[in-house]
This record gives sequence, structure tokens and C-alpha cells, in this order.
Amino acid sequence: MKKDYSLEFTLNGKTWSGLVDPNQSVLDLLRSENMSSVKSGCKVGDCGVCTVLLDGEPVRSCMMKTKDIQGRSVLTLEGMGQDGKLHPLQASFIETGAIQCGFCTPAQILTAKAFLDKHPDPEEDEVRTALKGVLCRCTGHVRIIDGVMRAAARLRGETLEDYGPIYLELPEKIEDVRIPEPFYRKGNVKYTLPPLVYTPKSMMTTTSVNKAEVKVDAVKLGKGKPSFTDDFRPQGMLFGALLTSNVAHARIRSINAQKARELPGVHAVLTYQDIPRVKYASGGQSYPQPLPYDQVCLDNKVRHQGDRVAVVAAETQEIADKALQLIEVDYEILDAVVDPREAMKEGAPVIHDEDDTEGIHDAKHNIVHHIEAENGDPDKRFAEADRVFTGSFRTPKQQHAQLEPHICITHYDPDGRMVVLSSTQVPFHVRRIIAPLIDIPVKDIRVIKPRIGGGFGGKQEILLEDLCALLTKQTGRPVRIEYTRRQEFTSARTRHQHFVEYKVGVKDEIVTAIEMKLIGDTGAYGSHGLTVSMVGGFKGLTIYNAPDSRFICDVVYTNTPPAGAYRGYGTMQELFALEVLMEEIAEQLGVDVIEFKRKNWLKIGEPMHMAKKLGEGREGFDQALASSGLADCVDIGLKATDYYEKREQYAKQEGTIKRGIGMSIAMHGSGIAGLDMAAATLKMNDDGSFNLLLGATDIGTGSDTILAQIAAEVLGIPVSDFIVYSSDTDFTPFDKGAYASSTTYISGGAVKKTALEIKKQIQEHAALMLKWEKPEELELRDRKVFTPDGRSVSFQDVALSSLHQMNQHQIMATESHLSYVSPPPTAAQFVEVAVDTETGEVEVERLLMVVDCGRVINPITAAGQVEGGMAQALGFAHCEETYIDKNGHVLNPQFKTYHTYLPDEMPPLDVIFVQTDEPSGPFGAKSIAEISIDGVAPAMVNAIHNATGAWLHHLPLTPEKIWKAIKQK
Amino acid sequence: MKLTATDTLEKIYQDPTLPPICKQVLQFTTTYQERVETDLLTSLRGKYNFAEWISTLLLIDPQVETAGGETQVLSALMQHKENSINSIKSASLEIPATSHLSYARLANTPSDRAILSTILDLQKDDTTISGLKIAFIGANKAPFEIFDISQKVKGKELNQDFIELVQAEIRTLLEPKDTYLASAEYINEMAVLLVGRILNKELTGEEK
Repeated sequence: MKKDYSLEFTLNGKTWSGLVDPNQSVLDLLRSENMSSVKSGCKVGDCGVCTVLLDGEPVRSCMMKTKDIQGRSVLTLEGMGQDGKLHPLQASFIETGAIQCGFCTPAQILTAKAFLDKHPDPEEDEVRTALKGVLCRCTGHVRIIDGVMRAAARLRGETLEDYGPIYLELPEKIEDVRIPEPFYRKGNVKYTLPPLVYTPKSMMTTTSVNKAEVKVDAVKLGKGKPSFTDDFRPQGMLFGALLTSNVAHARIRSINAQKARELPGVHAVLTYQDIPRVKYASGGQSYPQPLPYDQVCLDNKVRHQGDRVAVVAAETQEIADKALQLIEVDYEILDAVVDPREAMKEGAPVIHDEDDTEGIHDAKHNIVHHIEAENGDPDKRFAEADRVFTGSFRTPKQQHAQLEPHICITHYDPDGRMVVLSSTQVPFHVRRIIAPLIDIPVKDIRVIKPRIGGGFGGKQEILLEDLCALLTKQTGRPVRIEYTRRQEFTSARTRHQHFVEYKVGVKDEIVTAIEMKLIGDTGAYGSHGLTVSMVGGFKGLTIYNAPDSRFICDVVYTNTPPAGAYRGYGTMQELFALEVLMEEIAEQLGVDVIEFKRKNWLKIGEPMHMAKKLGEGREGFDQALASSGLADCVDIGLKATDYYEKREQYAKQEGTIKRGIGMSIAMHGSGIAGLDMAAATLKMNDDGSFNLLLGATDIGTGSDTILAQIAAEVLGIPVSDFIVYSSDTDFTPFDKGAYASSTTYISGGAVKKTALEIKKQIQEHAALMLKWEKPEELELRDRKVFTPDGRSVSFQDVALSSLHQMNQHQIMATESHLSYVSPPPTAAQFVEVAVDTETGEVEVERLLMVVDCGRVINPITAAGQVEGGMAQALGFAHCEETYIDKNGHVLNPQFKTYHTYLPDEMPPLDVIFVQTDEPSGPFGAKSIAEISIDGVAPAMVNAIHNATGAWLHHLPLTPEKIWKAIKQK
Repeated sequence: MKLTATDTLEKIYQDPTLPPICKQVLQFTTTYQERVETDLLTSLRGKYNFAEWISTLLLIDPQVETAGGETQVLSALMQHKENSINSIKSASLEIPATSHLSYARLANTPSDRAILSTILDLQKDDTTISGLKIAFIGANKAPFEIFDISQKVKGKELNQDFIELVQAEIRTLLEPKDTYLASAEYINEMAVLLVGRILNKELTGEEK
């Protein structure tokens, strides 16, 4: 990079001048100038998160050269807002829950600002169109659009009603339920509705819990403050780059890195020849991780396009990238196999032919795991059944498509310990798993997780941390490595492609036996293959809970990018298949599908027959359903969608465009029973505030906020009295990480226990101060401790007294929580579509999820989870697939060709909560993050069937598949 | 409306005199950011990124006045290598307020990139056809292709026979390949269908 161009421009109202490379991207210049709000998501203009305003108009800073801004004015989010006050757009985004991970937020706000400056009174459709250049993977776009509309009204000087959920009582008889008119969506109502929360009268009232508290990190994210891994660059940092394989299966005959090492500015080049061969598995799971340990940091064989080959550290990214091109790799190309059904056959290429991997079930046939589990006598039940139904289904290899790429920065601290700053969902697992890989003991590794720009399971994997640390070890310098967007598509992880065959026996309209045969494509490495399949098997056999069930599964290697953890984790694939088959069965039996399902779904008090047989990678624990609002969810959804009326009406449709409505039910889990453990620490400060230290990993979901709400509820103080910090392996207690829908339930359980212990300590100290004999009689509210006779001391009094005056000690506690049950949230998903029967195109007109997640801790963040989950599920159902040719090449490794739903096509995403009181959950809470993704695909297939009569078993539902299905019906 | 080479697509997009089909094409195929960053001349040089937009302009085929004062139709400039669009320093072109264009697209989702899109320029006097040009994007290997079948259809009446004739002609013109988005068979069928739909709308007088 030659800095010989004299540039002068205005940056956020101030003149900037200096010598630059005229061809350097504006993105790189702005980030080097500490404009942390300007994010890097793809560097090729596809994602829009690097948007800034150039002379008041939005441009992608990655596509602009420095010479393009000569003499012009650039505005970043750092320049918005006046006198430290939030701009109305920032305020509205915070209020509406438009900010989840916050990575796309600056670009969304700036784009909206440019648009509103010219169109102060826009229609919602115009806003949707204006924002389509900035991707968002968390929110489903709808709260962002809502935020912009509210900001527009504010900027016009209009007075707005308070924003928040609608709370209604759930009547004892569900037929008496009152649904607010907009939730019927009659008369083309398309605007975003607030979440609707139904509460049974029997549930106790709460003060902090069940309130739409603003996310504790919303303001800093809304201002674009330094929060993400790449925003913290240590001095002297080197830039890493990863050479990945361009072939899908090959042995490395030789690798010559001499030229790369000799390139000025290069400090280290590592290949398999330079580091010890230590076996591991990259899936971030609890100890002991399931076998096989089928990876090493760098190998002499590549097993998929995008597999690791070598890694470089250099003074600049440009030099590092250039060095990669100088590494000479001589590959012995091997035959590749990309279809798991082919990979299992005799004579297929053997992907793991190494002799040092233990625990592969049948390496010669690429079968990494073979699982069989059975309860009762399914064969007998099938023989006794009135009818036996079968169906084969296939789901796609979906990308996480989070906007912040995987990124890691490592450096030594002054004590010579390795500090790993990583965008990870599992900081504690990272520390444990990389220790042997980098040959540094756990005690000398510190993993820090800053804010995460979206994860969805993709960051429950050790992908860069080991290599980054090895480079720091080699050079002694801080090193930063980030996946390119292409590497996100080829080297990171995906959802498992599943081939599912169901066999269902029915007698007297009761499902008496279910058999599931599953082939799971794990790609080139085992990663989460075992656990995803077992979870899928368990959930897919439990929702209708036939006492006689069988699960037969092969998890198979292919020469494709590895699959890993992904929101839904096997459940969404298997529920897709089962929920479509149940609709087919009802149709063939001539019974109402809702009533058929109602007769058969798992009910309160019933044991989950496969719970013990299918744990997560090992034997599970006996469980029974303790709470369920499923029946109410279904009934409310039926009413809000006019389901039966529409079905009747659609049966008589004529013309090319046909409408349809479909429904599915879903059940998920809340953490992994008997395995997931979390801890939390609370520490009281002099002013009566608290540090809440969490190992739990907020990846944009709002978990820091809801965990503070749980503590606030116990202690009777506002959420603002907590300084929440997550997570740092040196300072926060252990938590297994953000996965398995565990944070609200497991980490929340830990926070509640901790807060109760703190409450006890406060009561004890206040009792001394107030000379009251029975501390347990003291009441905590409004930042004070009250005696029954009305005397009080403030929390600040208690803190100052305990720290400085009387019985001196630190009021502080750490508690842990584990549960031997994983209570399922339940939900009813409704999808409405319009199908062009001549082309097979589908326009999705409405998604509604009515969900029981126990007590809803924060209705706005919970609704955000449901909306975002439904949006990802819509992609899974409709348009998202990683296309791979027969040679193992990914054909669509960029956002331009891998389409995720955009704001201008996103249908209304409606969320209704039916609260239940889960006895084992904190204040009755269960989980919310994953159930939201489970129901869209089958409900969409059922809706298309309602419209056209065609059945579809293969996702995604592309126009051609639908066109063919209509022709063949 | 009169466009100059340095007009951004956003300026063009916001111009109330822009023919609705042109606006629709820009809305479907570009983002706000892309329109701000891209001027007209740059867009004309981006046959992969702006295939539908270029096709639309080529069907309108306006006169282009170059910096040297010469005037040519756009299609001539785009075709001749020696005087190609790449060598133009500045130019202006005029788009008539009304056009005979129709646009149809087929995609996985409404805003996904098109599996296939087509733009038709049907010239007629009352019900008698005087010309027909059809652009396809996604139907062949090239980023876009424009077929002028005016000679074959000139003087014919706009009726069902005419539509079938055009559809038959399309079947002979297109040679789609299988892609991961769709099979050649499907693309071919849809090309015929989309053109048939547009022509049927012309026939029945439905709004485009």
C-alpha cells in the first residue's frame, strides 16, 4: 500500500487530511481512524453493514476508494446525535427492539437517516425498499422498519404512544379469549404489531420480570461504540490470513512456504509441518466432547473446499493476503463424495483414512456415528395399527449468515498469559479445547468475549482461536484473524442436511408407533453430528410421544463444508418432516388435522418415552412434561388467522394465484438436561448497585438484560442498578455458553439462586443495622430494606455499612445451576401464502407464532427472538441452500448468490405469547431462542398444499419444485 | 426525461418522469446504496450487475449524444467495439415519458435475484403489431439477450394466435442451461409462460 495521495475530506463535521493510498477502501481508512461504528461484513458490497453517508447519501464504504471521497463529506454514526443525546432514529431503534446483536445497526440507522431526510413522511413500503441494501440476520427486519417509522413520526414532531407489549388476561375458557382487532390482519393490515402477551390469572404478578426493559447494551450498540472483537486492536498487532483448500478432497504431497516467509513484512507461516499433530474436535461442547477427535490444527490432507492449509501473520492484511498466494501446495487430488447416501456405499472415497482418529463408527463407509434407540415394541405396534404411513424428506445445508464474520485477536498479557479475544458463543469451552492445541495450560489462557455480531450456533465452534494463538506464540506479537465472507461459506459451519424417513402407525386416530430413520450429513468433520442427530431423534419422536418408538441414524462424512451447531439443532429438520406427514395422515384418514394432532401431542404429566434413551451424545434422564400452553397456543392461532374459514374458502378458489394457510406445532427444550451448568456472581458496590458477572454469552439475544431482570425481581431494584458483564474466563464464573436454548432457563436459574443468596445476606446485615431478630422477615423493595414495623435502611446504607462499618464483609455470592429436566417450550406456527400455480412462485403473506415459553422475562427481546427465528426459518423453508457441485465446490459462497429474506419482502411476523408457569424455571420461564425456528417450514408446506393440493418433501421450496409438484399431483 | 452520463441511478430513480417500468426494474435489481454509488455510464458498463437495467434501456434504445457531439442510438454504441460504451467520456440520452415496455420476473422469493426475467417492447398500432423486441435475463449463458422478432410479427393482429406464434418462436430462440437455481427445462417453460402472460395482458387490456 503506497500512501502517496493527499486526501482531504470532512469526517463527521471535521476536516480530515493526510496521505493515503488512493485505492484503499474507505472502510479500511475509517476503521483505522477508530470509526468503530463502520462494520466490515463482506468487503465485496453484498451486505451493506459498512454503509456511511457521503454528502448525505448512503454508500458502502467497502466499495468506495479513498480518492472517491476527496473534498466530500462523510458521516458515520459517531457523528450523529447532538450534545451526547440520541438521534430520534437511535432512540426509536432502542425502544422498538430493533437492535439485537447491533452489528448492522449503524448502517441501518444511517441509511434510514438519508432516506428520511428526503422523505420525511414515508409509507412503510418505501422504508422497506430503502433499507434492502443492509442485511440483518437477527431481527427479521420488522422492528427495524417499525423503528424507522416511529423515528419519522418523531422527527415530524408527532406525539407517539408508549411502545410496548399488549398484556391481556388469558380466560379460563379459551373460547372467551379476546384478540385485539389488528391481530386478525383483516383489510390488508401489514404494519408491525407489538407482541401480545396472555397471562393466566393464576400466575403471580412481577415487577421487573415480564417487563419490556430496554436492553442493557442497546445504547452503546445504537451509538456504534467499540464493542466487538475487531474494535479492540492491541498495539503492534499483526494481521493473520488463512490459506484454505480450493479442492474438496486431496492429500498434500508437498507444501513450500519459503517464498511467503521471505516476503518482507511476513512474520510467520505455519503449515502442518510446523506444528504438532494434536487431535481434537472443533465443536464447542462440554467435557468430555463426544468422539471422534477427527481434526488437527493443520493437516496433510484436505477434506472439503475451504479446509485449512496454512496460516500467515504479517504486518498488514495486504501482505498477509499476498503471502498466501506465494505458498506452493502440490495436491494429490482424490475423488470426492458430496452425497451422504453415496458416501456410505462400498467403494466410495474414504474421507477419514488417517489411522490416528478414534471413535469413527465405520471409517471405510464414512459413517462417523451409527445410533439405534428403541422404546417398547414398535414392530408389534405397526402390525397392530389400522394404518401405517411413511414419508421421506430432505432438508438443505443452510448457512448461519451472521453478519460479523468469525474473528479472533490473541496477544500475551504482561504476565505472559495468552489472551484470546474472540467472537465466540462458548468462551469457557474455547479455553479448555485450545489448551492442548497450543500447548499452554488452561490457567495461562484468558478468553474474553466482547459483543457478538450474531452467532446462531455458528460460533459454538473453535474455528480460528487455535491458529491465531499459535501465530502469537510463534511471533510473540498480537495477531488478528478473520474469516473472509467466502470462508464463512466454505470454511465455517452449516446446518446439517438431513434425509429423514418417518414411519407412523395409527390405530383409532392415535399414533401408536413411530420410527425415524435419519441420515445426517456432517460434512468433512464430525463436529456436532452426534448430538444434532440425537436431539433431532429425541424431539422428533417425543412431540407425539408414541410409547413404541425407534430411532435409526447414520451420521455420515462427505467432502463438503462441515455442519455444526445451528439454531434448531436437528429438531427443525425432523419436525418439518413429521409435521408435514401428520397433515398427510390426517388428510388420508379424513380427519381434521388439528384435532388429530390435539389427540396425539405430548400432554402435561406424560413421560417423554425417549428422553432417557436419547440424551445429547449420551444417555439422557427420565423427564415428564410439567407445563404446556400448546392447546391454548393452537386455539388462539386458529382464531387469529380465521384458519377454518380460510381453509373452507380456499378449497373453492379459482384462478392462477391461489392462497393457502398452514399450521404446525413445535416443541423444543430448555438447555441440555443433566449437562448444562451455569454460574453467576453478584457483588454489591458502595452505592447499593451490583456487578452482575455472567459466564453466559449474550450473542445479541438480550440475555444480559433478561438475566439482570431476574436478579432485579428478586432484589426489588431496577435493572439499571446492575452493571452486567459477560464474559471473561478470568473474571466471570463458568457457563457452558450460549446454546441449546439454555440461557434463560439454566443461566437464569443460576442468577435467581445468586440473587436469593444476596437477598439473604442483605437481610442479615440490615437486620443487624435495624436490630431486627428475624432477617427473613425483612422485605426488599425500592432499593430499601423494610422491617415489618415500617423502619428501613437503603441498599446504599447496607453496602456502606457492610463494607466500612459493621461486621465488615463483601456482600457477594456465586451460585451454580443445573437441571435434570429440559422443559419444552411449545408453539403453534401459522403461515399464509399465495402461490402462483403456473410458475410455482410463493409469496408468504403472514407468519404468526403463538408460543408458550413459560414466563416471558422480557416480551420485546423475546418477540425479537421469535421474529428473527421465524425469518431464518423462512429462509430455510423457501430459499436458502448451500449449493455444492459433484466435485465439492460451493456454487454460491457470497450473499449476492445466497439469498436471505430482505425487508421489502418480509411478511408480517406476528408474535403472541401464552404464558405458563414452568415449575422448574426461574419465575416460571422456559426457553425462546430455538422454538421460534421449528415450525415455519412444515406450516409453509401445509399452506402450499392447502392452496394447490401438492405435497412437497424437499426443502427449500423453490418455484421449480413447487411447479413440478403441482404438475405431478 | 434527459439523462446525463454522470447522473446517479438514484437521481434517475427519484425522477418522477422516469417511466414506471424503468423504476420497477431499478427497484427490483438495485439497492439504495448501489443507486447512489453508480452513475449511468458506469451502470451501462456493468452488464452482469445491471443486466435488467441495461436491457430496459436497450429496448428503449434512446439517442445518445456523446461528448464529441455525435449522436447514435444506445444499442449501436453498446455493440460496436471501436466506439463502445467503454470509451465514452460523457454522454446524454433521452428517455421518452411513455414506453411500450412490460416487465416480468421469476425468482425464489420476491426480492431474490431473478431466475429469469423478461422485458418486452411491443409496438402496435391499435391492434396491429408493428414491432416486438424481447429481452431475457437468465435464460441463456450471456448476462442478457435481446431478440428482435419484429420482422416475423409485423402486421399481425394481437390475438391468441399471435401469442402462440411468439411463444413458439421463443422456444426456438432460447438455449437455457441447467443452473443451481433451476433446470433448463423449467427456465424454458417459464420464458414462454412469462412472455405469454405479458402478451395476454396486452390483449385483455389489463394494467401492466
